Amino acid sequence: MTTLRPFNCDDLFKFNNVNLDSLTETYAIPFYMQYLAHWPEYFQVAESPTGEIMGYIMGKSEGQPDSWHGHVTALTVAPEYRRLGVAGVLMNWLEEISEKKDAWFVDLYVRVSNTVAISMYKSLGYTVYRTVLEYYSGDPDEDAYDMRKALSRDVEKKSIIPLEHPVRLDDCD
Amino acid sequence: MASRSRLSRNDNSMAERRLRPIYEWIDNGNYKKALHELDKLIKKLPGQNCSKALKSLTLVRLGKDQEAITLLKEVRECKPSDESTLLALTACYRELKKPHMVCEVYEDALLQDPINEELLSSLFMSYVRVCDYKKQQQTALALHKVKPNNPYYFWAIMSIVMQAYQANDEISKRITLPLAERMVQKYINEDKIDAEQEIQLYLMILDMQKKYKESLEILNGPLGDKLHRTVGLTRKKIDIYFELEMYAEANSYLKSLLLKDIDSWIYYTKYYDSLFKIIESKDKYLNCNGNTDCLPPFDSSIEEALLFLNELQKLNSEQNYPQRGVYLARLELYSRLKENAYKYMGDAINLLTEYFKIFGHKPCCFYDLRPYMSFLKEELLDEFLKILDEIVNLKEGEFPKTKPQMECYLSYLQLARHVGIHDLMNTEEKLKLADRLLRCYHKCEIFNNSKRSSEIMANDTFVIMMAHLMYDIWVENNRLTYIREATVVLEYAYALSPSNFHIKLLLLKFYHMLGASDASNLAYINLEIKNTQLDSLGYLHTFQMFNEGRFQNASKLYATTIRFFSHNYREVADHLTISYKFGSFIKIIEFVEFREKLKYSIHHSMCLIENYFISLLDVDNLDDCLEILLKMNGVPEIASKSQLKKMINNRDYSVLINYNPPTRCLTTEHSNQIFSHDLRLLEIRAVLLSCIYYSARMIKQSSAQNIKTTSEVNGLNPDDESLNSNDIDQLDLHLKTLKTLSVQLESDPPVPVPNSVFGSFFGSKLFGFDKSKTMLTIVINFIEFIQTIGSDVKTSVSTDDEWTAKMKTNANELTIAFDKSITYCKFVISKAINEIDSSLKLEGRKEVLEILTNMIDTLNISCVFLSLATYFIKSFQNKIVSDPKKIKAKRKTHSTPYNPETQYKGKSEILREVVKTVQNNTSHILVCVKNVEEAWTRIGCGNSNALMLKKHDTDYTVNDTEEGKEADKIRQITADRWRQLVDTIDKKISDSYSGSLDEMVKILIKKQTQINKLPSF
Repeated sequence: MTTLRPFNCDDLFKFNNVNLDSLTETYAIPFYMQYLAHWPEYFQVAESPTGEIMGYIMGKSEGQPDSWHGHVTALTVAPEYRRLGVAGVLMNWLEEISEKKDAWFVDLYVRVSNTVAISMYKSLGYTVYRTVLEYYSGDPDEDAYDMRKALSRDVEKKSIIPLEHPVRLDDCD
Repeated sequence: MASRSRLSRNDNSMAERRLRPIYEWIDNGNYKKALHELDKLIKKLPGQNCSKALKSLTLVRLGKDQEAITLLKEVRECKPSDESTLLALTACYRELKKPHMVCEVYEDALLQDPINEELLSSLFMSYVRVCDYKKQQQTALALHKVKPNNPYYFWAIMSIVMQAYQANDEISKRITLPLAERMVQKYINEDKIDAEQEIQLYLMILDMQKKYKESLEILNGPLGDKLHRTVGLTRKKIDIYFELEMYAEANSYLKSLLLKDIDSWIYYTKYYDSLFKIIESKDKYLNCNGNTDCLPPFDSSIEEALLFLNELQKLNSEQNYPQRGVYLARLELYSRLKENAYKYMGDAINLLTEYFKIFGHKPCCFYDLRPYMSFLKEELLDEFLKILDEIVNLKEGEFPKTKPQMECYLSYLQLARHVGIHDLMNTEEKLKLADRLLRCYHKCEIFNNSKRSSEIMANDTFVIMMAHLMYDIWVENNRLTYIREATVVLEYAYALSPSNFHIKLLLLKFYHMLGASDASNLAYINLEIKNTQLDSLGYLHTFQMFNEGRFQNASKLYATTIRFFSHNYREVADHLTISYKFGSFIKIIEFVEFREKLKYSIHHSMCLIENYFISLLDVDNLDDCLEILLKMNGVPEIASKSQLKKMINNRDYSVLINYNPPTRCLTTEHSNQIFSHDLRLLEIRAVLLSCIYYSARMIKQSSAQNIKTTSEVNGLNPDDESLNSNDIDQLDLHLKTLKTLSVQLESDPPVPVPNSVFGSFFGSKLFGFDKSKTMLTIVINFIEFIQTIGSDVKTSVSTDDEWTAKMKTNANELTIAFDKSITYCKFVISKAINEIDSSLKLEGRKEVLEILTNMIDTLNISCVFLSLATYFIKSFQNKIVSDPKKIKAKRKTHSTPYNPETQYKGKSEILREVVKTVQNNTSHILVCVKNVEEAWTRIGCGNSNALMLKKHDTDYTVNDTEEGKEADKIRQITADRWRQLVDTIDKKISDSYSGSLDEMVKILIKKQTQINKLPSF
């Protein structure tokens, strides 16, 4: 039971029930505004029937023409609205936009320890493209999986052929 | 000529070379080094503007604003137009918070190079930053002239739209918007539109003029095809249908959308909206339906709607797992049908049960059903709960055997609480239920299959509900020991589920209820509140710390919050410019409004004001005090009615979770009520601070007149001298307002939101003022006192005697008010430290802390006024000593009985009395604080065998024998851990009290020092 609507600045005051979650980062305002100004269509809220923020997705399109793709920067769902497929609805949205923008694929980074998220992404058709070493800073640093899903433009699904070796952050494009 | 230009080129390249490291030093914060090098460079090449501009920037960063401004003036006179100088100037003015000056810089630069595209573009952006839409428009058109392209043309159009947005009157809108429309139309006609953002802007212009028909034509026409990447068109189309009252089209469109997306709530609600509109004016549609030539098929009766829902239900059942949409849609229809609902849809119970059977084990169940529980009254409600109980299938005393069963049980418990079952229980029954919840919590730990610390544990809700029950008991009998026990349980759960922010929020709240500042600060830190949350959630903590005597923690948080606001106000402006660059026109109004929300956030203003008070608290000498006071020039603006009217509340009250009945939830009225309290408090504090500020200015200047060498008075410009009478007027004005506010506090006392409403507990400091009204009396008398002492007898008609009389009255009033305050203070304290009943040990502690901090606050303000008065008297004394003859001569010529010596004598005598009064009362309060500390250390926090927990242990051994030795062992560990935990928490609370009281002692000693350090006279 979801209503998707564009994320707006006011939501920055209201998204606490989602953002107080320990794996959801509350960024500085400019970070959100950069997305709102640049890729407003990629920043969507899933609203509950009573108007609560159930979750949101923040993303963008980027890359060289031959690797033009949609990217998921943040995806989060409030604890009481998990296991309802909200994340799937939001991901689906981002994929559709990326399709409209003629992207080859959609990608995202996830902590290798976040098994819940990884299996969810797998169920949505994402596969691990490569491991990025020490992507998440912290104590200790943590590796990330770069997960990808090919879009219809990539008929041969070349963009998601997994790399054999992990890469360092500096080597990422 | 040639050689000269080469020379200057050489100079430039040398300057460039030498500036390179300087940029780096500035970037890295090595300002001293940068300044040193810049000075050398300026000496060598005095004509180099860039180095001067950079020097100004360095000075700003070093806090030497005045020096920077002087140097900037010099640079500005050269009207520089080179990029590096302009950039440095821009940075400078932005950091000085004078963005309008950046516009002037570029205006000047353009005088030399009027068709420079770069400069024009920078000028445009500088207007964007200050929201000067008219000039934006002119500049954009100038740009378009220099380089005719679409972006510049549409910048101009957007600037026109912003003028219409800003204009309040309809007339100007009727002129500006059609102009914008025509400008777009022109490009459409010439087939020059090339970006979808341009069409978005066109739709926006049509929207603002309510030209929905035209919008629809665009959407359905060839330009609409260009919008293929634009999102939200569906919503737009729906909205337009409604605006044009094309309900049949809307209904039919929504049906097609729902068939494709059966879980979209907005489609359901809009579908119902259109359905009921159609039914309302059925005749109009009667002949049309079914006739495809006329209109696409739509629903025009409840029966048809029900059939449609069945169709959607069928689709839903074909999916892998059912979605909530259709089920909730039925409930929504039921709700909209009101009294007719039964006729069409039968008992609501069936619908609710149907939903619960499928989704009862999802945490969203409660939130989904909550709006519809009002369908059920009395017997139906009982029947429904009975059905739920059967579905949950737990016998008396039994614990959930599976995770879904636990989740169903939790949903049932939440719903039962929401319909008021808990409110019907007496204390004993509530305790019994709390105990049961706690045991369920333990039993259900096994269902937390994920032990990851980042996950919220599934059984946590038991503990959260238990905490709410304990809160209920507190509301009933006012015994804080229940809150204390709840914190123990919450701390236990927190250790196992460190990611559950609901637990952290409850801990934050409960510790504040106890007045345990440090303990709640820890909970606050664990919440990792930052950025916008400082504004939306700051109310949970920020102002409590001061009231509990933790001044340093409060000061830190004020500073962080203030930094957040001032930094972001600038940053948002940057993104406004980015929106123009990317053509994200749809976001521009939103960004402008967001900037206003940050600017006028009441939380921001409150932090600013309180931060000033706290900075005065930390002062122990006259010079520092005066320096701080004279920097408060921004305060009167906050205190002005016009500014107060603009205040906005950005708080998020929904973050505190609860399952309460509607009557015990925070409503919009409540939040408005709280906001109005805060506004009143803000006004009192800002007006009071303005009084202090103007007093300081007045005293500084009257003293300056006493000192012969008045040419340079530290902190004040010489030309400010003339403002003297203005300062006196302002002081007068603000004092009057303060008095009115003080009277209003009595005639129209603030009414708190009842405690039974969860989320209401964080009462405003206003209630502290309300409780101890004498404090405002003290402050007001002090202001009057300072007014009399500082104003010159020559300018007033009063005689020396009248004057002394006035001062004496204030001095006496002060003494009386202080006496009253101390008596009240002691009364509150004695209640709180002489409690024999051990279960009442924690009562009134928060109140004691509050009254003590209020006293300290008052003493702090008193010390400020004493400092000011002494400063004046001292200068007066110097005057008499340094120039007795002149005074004598003056005395002869003066017509009124003016005698500086007697005046000095009279004034100083009374002042000495007042100093003594403040001194004595500071000592009194110091003794009070020490007594409280001694008493609380002695009596501790409560009986270490917490009531409920103990009972809980024994129950365990009686009931659970069948589980064998292993379970016994675990229980023993748990019981031991609990006892340990109780002790730990008690210590945490006790330590918090000592921490607060220690800090109060420190501050009071500081205030004593401040008084002792006052120069003698």
